[in-house]
Amino acid sequence: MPVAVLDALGAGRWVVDHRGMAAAPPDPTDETLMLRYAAGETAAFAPLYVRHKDGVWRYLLRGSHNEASTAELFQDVWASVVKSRASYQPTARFATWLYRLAHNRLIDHWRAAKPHDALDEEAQELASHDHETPSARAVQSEQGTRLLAALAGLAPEQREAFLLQAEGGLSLEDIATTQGVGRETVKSRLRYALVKLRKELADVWP
Amino acid sequence: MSGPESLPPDDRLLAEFLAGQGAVREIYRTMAQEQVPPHLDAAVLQAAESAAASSTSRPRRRHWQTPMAAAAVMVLSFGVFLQVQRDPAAQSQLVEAPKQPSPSAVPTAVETSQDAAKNEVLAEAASARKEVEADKNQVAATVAKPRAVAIPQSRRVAAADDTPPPPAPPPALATAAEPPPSATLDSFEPERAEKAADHAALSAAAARESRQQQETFAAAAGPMAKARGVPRAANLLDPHMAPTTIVSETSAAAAIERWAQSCDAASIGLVGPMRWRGLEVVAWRQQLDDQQVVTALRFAPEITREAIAAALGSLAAKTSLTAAHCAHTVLRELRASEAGWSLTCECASP
Repeated sequence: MPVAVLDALGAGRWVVDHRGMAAAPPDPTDETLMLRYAAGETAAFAPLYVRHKDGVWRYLLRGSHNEASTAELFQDVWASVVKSRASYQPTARFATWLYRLAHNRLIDHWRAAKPHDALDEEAQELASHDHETPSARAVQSEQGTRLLAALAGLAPEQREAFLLQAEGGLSLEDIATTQGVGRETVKSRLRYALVKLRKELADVWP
Repeated sequence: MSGPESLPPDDRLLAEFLAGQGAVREIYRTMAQEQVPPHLDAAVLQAAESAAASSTSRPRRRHWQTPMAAAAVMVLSFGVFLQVQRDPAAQSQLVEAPKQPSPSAVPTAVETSQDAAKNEVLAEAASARKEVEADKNQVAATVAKPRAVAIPQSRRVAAADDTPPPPAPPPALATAAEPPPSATLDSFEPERAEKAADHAALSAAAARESRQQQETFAAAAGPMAKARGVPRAANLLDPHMAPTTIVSETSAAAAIERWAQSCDAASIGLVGPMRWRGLEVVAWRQQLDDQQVVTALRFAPEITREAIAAALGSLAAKTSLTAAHCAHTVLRELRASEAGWSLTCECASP
């Protein structure tokens, strides 16, 4: 709406300001929150934790297949985050660093639990519904249940690559660094995993 | 360039998955609803808070430890230096004593006097030895054990240079609870130069270490001090950026109201010359503009940008200055709306 009040004064034109509402400040990044927490700002930890806790929980749950073990691993991972805060450097994404801690803890768990058994055998054994966790039994969708079962039946490295992307949002390069393999290897693992999972859903999702 | 449709099926699946799309991704996203049990949430948050609270208290102790240690070293070094300074006076007396017997005396008398002088020197050396032992015991009772102990000059009559013993080594480097070596007058002399060099090196190393520790603690305290000194809303990624304050809608409305009421004549529309915070205003208006209430002041031509900014006072931090490059002192307009405050410049066009 043009304003012409001052035209009569001949004192010049009004400057029309078309700015809208002030944009809400962007949420601080994970790296910023972690640096603030490392500097002593206790309140910075909670939002960071809330952002990533469920993803890490599911990652560990699908890797350990046991809720009791998952609880222990989960606490260990976040204890590592707290302990390492002073030496944290934002050279990579916080999520990459976090899931690397989770990956290392999961590896330790596998080695300590059944060092001589093939991990493939364990995954197949636990893929049956008898070993579903109480929270997994709550899943109503048949597709979801079958996908879960198929996911549990994947080779551990394929399953982990899938979860690092699906839960952590890690890039191929970050997954490669976490798993200690090359980028192309990660792509192969993901391809295999997706083909198997898609095949599992073929009859209900053509 | 080939699009997704021309990719092999596997690669297409992968591309979809990485892009957060596709059937697998969608189904997984729907069914992956497991959440952390609440008791674990509480435990993790509690642990994080405790760790942060304990770590913020720890550095405070470090802040005074290093300067305290440095001060203690300096005090002890000065004390040892003073102790050493006292000895040259006694040393000079002992140097003169053997010269007293007369060379022209009868041989028997000379021998007697020489014997007496010798006995006197030995007695004085014995008493000096006792003094040294007493000094050693006194020094051993202190925190830092000065390795250098002053010895009487009776043993060093022929010594040409008299380098004072170096200051005591710092407590961190000194062997605590270890008594000084029981140096006899006979054995101390040859080791003195070597120990002096060792002590000088130790002192220099201690000073370096002390400096390094101070720098380390200062660097460690830097970010924390910075975090403590900067408001919470500050941009920690760029410490040089001024802290920003977000004006809520309520605050903005209240600020506008206060600002409007500060005018000498509250009115709507053009009512004639007014003053706002001492500045001449030619017009004041309020209108609804794009669903926002906009309040604007139009200042007289001679009112400079700087004067307006000065009059804004604390509001200046919330006011954006558009056309900041313009240096003309022409009409200025201060606008306030729920979006914020702005001070704009309108260059007079011919």
